[in-house]
Amino acid sequence: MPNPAQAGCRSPSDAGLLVVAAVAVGAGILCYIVKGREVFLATLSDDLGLLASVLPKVAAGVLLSGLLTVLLPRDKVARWMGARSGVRGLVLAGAVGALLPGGPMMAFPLGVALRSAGADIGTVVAFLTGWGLLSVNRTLVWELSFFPHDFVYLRYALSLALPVLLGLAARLFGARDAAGRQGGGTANSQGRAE
Amino acid sequence: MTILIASLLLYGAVALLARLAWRRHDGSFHSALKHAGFQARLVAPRLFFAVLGAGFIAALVPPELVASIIGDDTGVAGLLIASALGAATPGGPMLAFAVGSAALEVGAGTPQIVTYVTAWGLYNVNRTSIWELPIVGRRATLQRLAIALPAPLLLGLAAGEVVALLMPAG
Repeated sequence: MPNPAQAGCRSPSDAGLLVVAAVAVGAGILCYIVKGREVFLATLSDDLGLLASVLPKVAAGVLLSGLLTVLLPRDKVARWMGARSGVRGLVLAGAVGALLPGGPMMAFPLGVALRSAGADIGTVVAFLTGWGLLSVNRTLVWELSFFPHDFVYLRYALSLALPVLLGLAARLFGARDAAGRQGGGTANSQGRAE
Repeated sequence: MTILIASLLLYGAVALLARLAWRRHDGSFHSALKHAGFQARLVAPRLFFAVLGAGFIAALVPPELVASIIGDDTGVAGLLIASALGAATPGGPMLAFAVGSAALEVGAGTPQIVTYVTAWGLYNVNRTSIWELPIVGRRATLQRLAIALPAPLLLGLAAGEVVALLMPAG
């Protein structure tokens, strides 16, 4: 299975880490100078406490995503979902996106696989929206660790309908777009017959 | 309590899947561990610096400033700024959530942070340019972005309504 993670992303993500590290160290030094030792140490111990409380869940999340990367038959899921249509197809795509653990290196290739398995743009949008906003793994591991729980429930509940809504919007938009540009297909629209 | 249930769910799922992988006797289990190790090495340093950085910045920035930019009373302008901030926040959930929760603690409004998290989830620039564009392609990516663009604002407005409904006094 092709993995673009290895090829294109080592250096940009390392650069990202350097930036985050530099900002953290800079902010720490600034905090020490501007706010004094007391505030610096109090903030540091708060943050370390937060880290300690998050770590066991992060470990579980990482294990889960490793296991599912290996166990989940990506092609089969794509074929299975590609065959569904209508609003039910969108609901299903959003739900699969929500249940799929793992980062962008997992989600975007699956989105492409969906497309080549015959799914329309609406299904792909619903899937990516479910993954981006409703990821169960991300909410359990990260969101609930950081945010007040009321906040998480509110955000999650409000987002529930979005995969279907954005999927429908994409179908509308996509249909009009396709009608307007007959014959000007790109690599991404190959194999679509509607 | 929720944290406990969440942890149980997570570890239950891990145990179940680990058993499944182990029973295959085809190296699935070890390759899963390798994937997990790779990810852990990627995530751990980012998590560490993201949490420390967000904490220090929250301690430095005056709450009044945060409140005046993305506070509860900043309305649509605040929501638009929160959308832009969400789009601009790079990296994984550890950074976005650390920043969002720190902001919430020092005076940002709930609707604004709902918008921030939604924008980050739907179209953060870093993820889109590194992953989505090269993998999914330009046309499909732009199409998805165009459709998703107003969603964070709308969710923020809805969140404002719900908050007002639940806490009429505040």
